[in-house]
Amino acid sequence: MTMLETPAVTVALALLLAGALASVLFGAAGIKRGLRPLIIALLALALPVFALFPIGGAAFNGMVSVDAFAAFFTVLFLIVSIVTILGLESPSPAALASVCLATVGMTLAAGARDLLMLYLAIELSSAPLYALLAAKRTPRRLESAMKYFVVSIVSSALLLLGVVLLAVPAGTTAIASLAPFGPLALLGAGLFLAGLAFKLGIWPFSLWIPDVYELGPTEIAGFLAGASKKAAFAALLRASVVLIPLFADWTLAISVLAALTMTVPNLIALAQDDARRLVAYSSITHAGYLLMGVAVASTAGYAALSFHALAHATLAAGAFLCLGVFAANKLRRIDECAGVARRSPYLAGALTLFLLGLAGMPILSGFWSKLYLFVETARAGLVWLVVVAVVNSVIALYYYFRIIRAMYDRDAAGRTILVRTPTLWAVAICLIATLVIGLWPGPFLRLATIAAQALG
Amino acid sequence: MIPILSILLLLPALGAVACILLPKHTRAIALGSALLALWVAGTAWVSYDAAAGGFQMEQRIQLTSAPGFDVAYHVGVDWLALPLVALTILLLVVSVLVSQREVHARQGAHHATLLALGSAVSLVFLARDLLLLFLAWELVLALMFMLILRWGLENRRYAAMKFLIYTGAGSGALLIAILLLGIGTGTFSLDGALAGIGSLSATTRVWILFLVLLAALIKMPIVPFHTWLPDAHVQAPTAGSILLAGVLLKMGAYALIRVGGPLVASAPSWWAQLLFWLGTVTVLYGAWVCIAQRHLKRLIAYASIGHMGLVLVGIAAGSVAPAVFLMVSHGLLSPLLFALAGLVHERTGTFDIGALGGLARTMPTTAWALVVAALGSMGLPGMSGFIAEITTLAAATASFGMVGLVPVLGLVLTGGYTALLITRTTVNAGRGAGGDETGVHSLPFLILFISTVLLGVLPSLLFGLVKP
Repeated sequence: MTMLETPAVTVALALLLAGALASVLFGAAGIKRGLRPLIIALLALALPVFALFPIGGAAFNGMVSVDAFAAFFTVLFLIVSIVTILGLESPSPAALASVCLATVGMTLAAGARDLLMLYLAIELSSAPLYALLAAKRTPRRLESAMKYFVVSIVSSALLLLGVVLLAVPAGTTAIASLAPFGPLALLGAGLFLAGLAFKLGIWPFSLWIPDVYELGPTEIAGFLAGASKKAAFAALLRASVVLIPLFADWTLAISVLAALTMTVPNLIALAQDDARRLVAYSSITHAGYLLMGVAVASTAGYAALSFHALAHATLAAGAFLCLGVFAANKLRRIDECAGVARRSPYLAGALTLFLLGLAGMPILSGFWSKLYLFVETARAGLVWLVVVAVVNSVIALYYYFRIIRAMYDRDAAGRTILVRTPTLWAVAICLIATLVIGLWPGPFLRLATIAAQALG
Repeated sequence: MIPILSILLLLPALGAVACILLPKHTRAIALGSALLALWVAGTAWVSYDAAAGGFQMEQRIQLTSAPGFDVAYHVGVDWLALPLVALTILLLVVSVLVSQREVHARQGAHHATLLALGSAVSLVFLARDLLLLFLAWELVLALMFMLILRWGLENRRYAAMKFLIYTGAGSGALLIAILLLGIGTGTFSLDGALAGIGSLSATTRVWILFLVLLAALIKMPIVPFHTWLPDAHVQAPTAGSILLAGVLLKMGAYALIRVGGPLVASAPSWWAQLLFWLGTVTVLYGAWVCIAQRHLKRLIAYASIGHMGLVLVGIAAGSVAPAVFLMVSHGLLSPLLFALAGLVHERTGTFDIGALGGLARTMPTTAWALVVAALGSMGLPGMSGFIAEITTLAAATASFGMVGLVPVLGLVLTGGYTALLITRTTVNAGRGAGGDETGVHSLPFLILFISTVLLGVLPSLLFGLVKP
């Protein structure tokens, strides 16, 4: 096997693992400097891998697909990981290794062709996050980590039970060879979905999200919303081949879940005073939008989902980074952010664009991705769901613009806000993604379509 | 072929970027790009071939090619879009000129917002793709919010949010209508979708029509969806008021004509009656409120609402050309009034009509201008308002018989409040502060005044665009 025949995802994984290993070695040797640039370089190297190495086929004895879908989501994860690493408040070797390992897990989840691999991948993507959330042992951080830990354990148990019930009757864990039927398989599928629902943030399995996002390190909240949740959606799409035939009313059931997930947290968000908590609720609402693509269950629907996942990943990561800087300056509540635009015009401008993007305003990425989701959902005949989504989008205008309104309050004043250079870079990456996708959506939409087609 | 419309759209947009990048030269850049855009708009007006009719100067670039989601940057201009675009760019020049005097804080960002707003509103009128139209529509919403919020008066936070929620709801209705139309006909291209409405079920067509109507009623605004407008106007900076009254309100009527027009055939039989009475009630209500109004800007805002009601009457009568003429006429006179109100406020420190007075002595030219503009808005012969109102009412009587004259009652009330306004502000005794504008700063007023007289004397300038 020559080097060029090695599938792209394997190379990307090798680079990520090298990053994790380097972090551990640097940590053991006590070297502090130069590690973060090295890890970022490794992750950045993994990005063009998909252009150089063949996409297609499988790796790890056929347990992981190396198709366009895996590639699309891996690129998404890599971008969010780079942004997260740049935004880390304390880039310790342990934190860097954790991000690398979590990214390995997410990449595997996006390619999994095997239920067991899916389960392992989700575990691998969650476990490092306990460490990341609890890196600083303040009571708030520990509470955040503890909550995430408990939720993850429950979710894992449900997932594993579901996998077992689905796989045992068939005698295999390969998704393609599973032909589940009967009440046991239905129970298994139900447990599997419930376990995944925690990671997806489907209401009412999303109750942990606001607490964890608000109390944990903000850049990790961005990682959870931008990458971890998207990995769960990728895993759901991988498993949907098995799940959809089991449920006669799949579209209706998912539509109802989507409507609830986009409505309830949206209304709760209206009453929030903490900016991060507000954006946390809004990210649950966006999971509801993404679920529309799952409900449609067509290639176009999955393409719209993937596209919105890409747009929302950079928007959410960027918004949390900006809010993290504000929080570090003791600006947590929305009314405390009054007049921030004068103290840090560029950061406030960036956050404004991220919030506008989340609200689905042109000429930003969120406009196109949300519109595409709405179009495909309406085409599938789910007009009522689109109406629910549009009404929620209008409601959401209020809380997104509430933050903007506070920031541009010209009567308040204060000292200039200092931003660390790496964080600034991370915000810049998110901003560029937001604007480029917003101004020229065609190529990204095509990539999302190709990715969805690979899903078959 | 020169992509003249794209140049028209790009000039203010590039000007906006330049204003942010070069904050020191923002005044020159803003005025320069707005004037260049005006020149291009004039070129477009001259080169539009009315005899040929239809859409001209079209340009199309595919933005996405996903199956079923093929959004194109597709612009073109017809006799309906051309006057509105020209008006937009003219008002952009005026608002930039007014801001140069009025706005001193964060000028770069202010001018950038104005220029971007000019581009976005023009795109609404020029878009030949439903999703592109929606994009521009949303962009206008966000930009106007920022304009009110950052450069508005005391109660701007409340007004900006009210504007956002009301018109956001209108956008939502428009979006659902566009989705139903585009998916039902299989294309989001405006021509294709409107040509294919035959393939929609009758129920869908009626739904689309009423959703577009809802969006229009909120945006125009028509009673009882109007309460956001007085607040937005009162709190907005003068430049914001000029664009809001001058062209933003027209977006609603435009969408109703453009998207709703081809669907009217499948509307219920009482459709025209519904529009007529909505419009008439708005005319009467707007004028009625004006009589009791003590706040100068609020009065002009309610007068605007009344005029938009008359526009709806024109649309109800099925005569689009007078309605468009009325829109353009109001788009010149209302901004003139707002600009004068802004000047009066700057010199006297108040919008309170009761506290004003004696302007004829302290600011004689301004007082005269106010009198003429108010009379013009009432329908003084020789100015554009006269032609607009006469033709609209003629169309209404042709369609609805003598009932079509009910809106005239509104004009009677208009005469009443105009007289009150003039006597209270200009003649009565008042405070001593004042001083007219001279030199370059009187330019925005002159531009608007000359344009409205020109249209009043030569209505064929606009009516000539309609294919004979």
